[in-house]
Amino acid sequence: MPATILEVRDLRTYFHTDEGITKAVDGISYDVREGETSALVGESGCGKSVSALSLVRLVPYPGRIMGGQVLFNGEDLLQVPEAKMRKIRGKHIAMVFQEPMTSLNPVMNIGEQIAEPLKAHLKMDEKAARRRVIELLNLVGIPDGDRRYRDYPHQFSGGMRQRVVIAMALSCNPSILIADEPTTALDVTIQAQILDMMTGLARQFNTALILITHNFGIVARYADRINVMRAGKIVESDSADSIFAEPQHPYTQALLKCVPRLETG
Amino acid sequence: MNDHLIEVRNLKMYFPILSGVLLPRKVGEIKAVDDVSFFIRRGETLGLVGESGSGKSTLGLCLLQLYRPTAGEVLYQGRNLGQIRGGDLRRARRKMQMIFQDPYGSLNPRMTAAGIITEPLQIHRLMPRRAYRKRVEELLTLVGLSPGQANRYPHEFSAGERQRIGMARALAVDPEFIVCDEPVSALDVCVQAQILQLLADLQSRLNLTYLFIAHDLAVVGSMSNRIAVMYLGRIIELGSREHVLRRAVHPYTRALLAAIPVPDRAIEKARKRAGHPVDVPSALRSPTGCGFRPNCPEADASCRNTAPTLEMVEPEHWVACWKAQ
Repeated sequence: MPATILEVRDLRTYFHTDEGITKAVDGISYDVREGETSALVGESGCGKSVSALSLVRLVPYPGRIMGGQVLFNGEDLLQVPEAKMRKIRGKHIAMVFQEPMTSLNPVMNIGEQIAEPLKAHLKMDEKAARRRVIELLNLVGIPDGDRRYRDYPHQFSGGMRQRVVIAMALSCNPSILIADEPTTALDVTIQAQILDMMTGLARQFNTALILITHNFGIVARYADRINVMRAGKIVESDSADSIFAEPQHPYTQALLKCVPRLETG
Repeated sequence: MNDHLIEVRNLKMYFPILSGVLLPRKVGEIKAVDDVSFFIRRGETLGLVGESGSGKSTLGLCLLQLYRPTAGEVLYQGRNLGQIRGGDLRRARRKMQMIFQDPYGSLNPRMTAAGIITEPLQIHRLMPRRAYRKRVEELLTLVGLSPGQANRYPHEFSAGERQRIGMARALAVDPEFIVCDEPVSALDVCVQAQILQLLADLQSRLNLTYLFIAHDLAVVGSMSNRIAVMYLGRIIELGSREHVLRRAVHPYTRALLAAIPVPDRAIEKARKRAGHPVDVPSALRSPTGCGFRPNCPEADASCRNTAPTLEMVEPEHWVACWKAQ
């Protein structure tokens, strides 16, 4: 049984608005083990994205983390100073978001963007960073890295941009990669390639992957563990095999029943 | 007189690309729909599947003459829609309606649900004003909403409820044919299931014919009698639901099927990975010959010359692929 590297305990994130308090994340707890792919699945508004942002303390105003613990290698990330948090984000815990165009700086070439975390976290010099960037581009399926280094995000398709973002995220070999609906904006055939690539690399580098999605097909294909979220709480948490074989919670059962099945036979 | 409610013949929809500010000249074209022919039988649901750039949405708009096709014909009950204008076209259009993808963009935010639903009644002058209220109540009930909500504004409804309002609007004029353009893509899984159920119920109650456009083969499969698969402006496979989902012939259809993860653990574990990488095609620079050639594991020299046409591979099952013959 691989070691537990992340323990989320009773995490609560509330949004304080003029109309009242929205309990986006209302006391969730789960574990992430080394190298494991866990899926955080739920419908829109259940709080899965906010919970992921809470792990790395990137919750936008008017949201605030109200309580709980996020123990990373024994240390509570909710208590460490921001300076320390900045050293963890991008280096030990990385994130990939849904919209590749807004995650990439449109006025910087992609090589420089991938090199940024390498220089900032690993203190690499220009030459070493460039070599590593080309290596990473190869890993994520963008050949010709030497030539494409100087290209800008708008010169890539959606799927390719997401590969660039994944290259950035994996650049410093993080122990955890959080992917929030990384392929929802992409076509089905591209989606399959991106997810295959991302999970393949995670396995290769023993990176734990927290996959946030509403798509049960993706969960069935890639996840080892599943956490089902609803209205800010986790209603069921188990291995993927168990949940698909025998979902316990009525909400999980209802969700699974609603998914249209492709009977390809 | 056959039972073909809609017939499409050699439909083309090309969009010019213009360059230059003072004197724009055409420097290229986007062949959004590139020579498409098919029919839809009265009462059936034809599913239209494709990814971005396939032309499926454009095709739907061409059927309703919201785009006037560049070439080819759209026949409604044998009548060529391209040859009629003005009042005649408006009367024909009463029979053909559309439901849109975006529950937020497809409803006028400044109109109440009642206003949205009565607008088509006003345009088609179908009944006196005093009859509107009852009709709105009928329609809201038909789509599963409460008549008491008639005077609410779109922002007061959920996404699924807005789609229902869109459906009520489409049904207001008693159409025969509805183009459903990705009607559930923007909805959560459980709401999706409800809306699909509603669409199916309405179809049998009101004897409707649907063109169901989606990129999700599972959704299309659950709703359609027959399925057409589009790639780069062309239909590359057309057959019954069984043909396309269980006996797909075209390499693109097979790639699409393999790429879709199924919410079934046992099946997913047993599946072999989708092998060949597929890149998103550009309708701006489509390859010569078969459009799928650059991404096709089975392509060879013969695929470079002419684009394949739809040929029958078994009764009622058509494929456009040189390798399938």
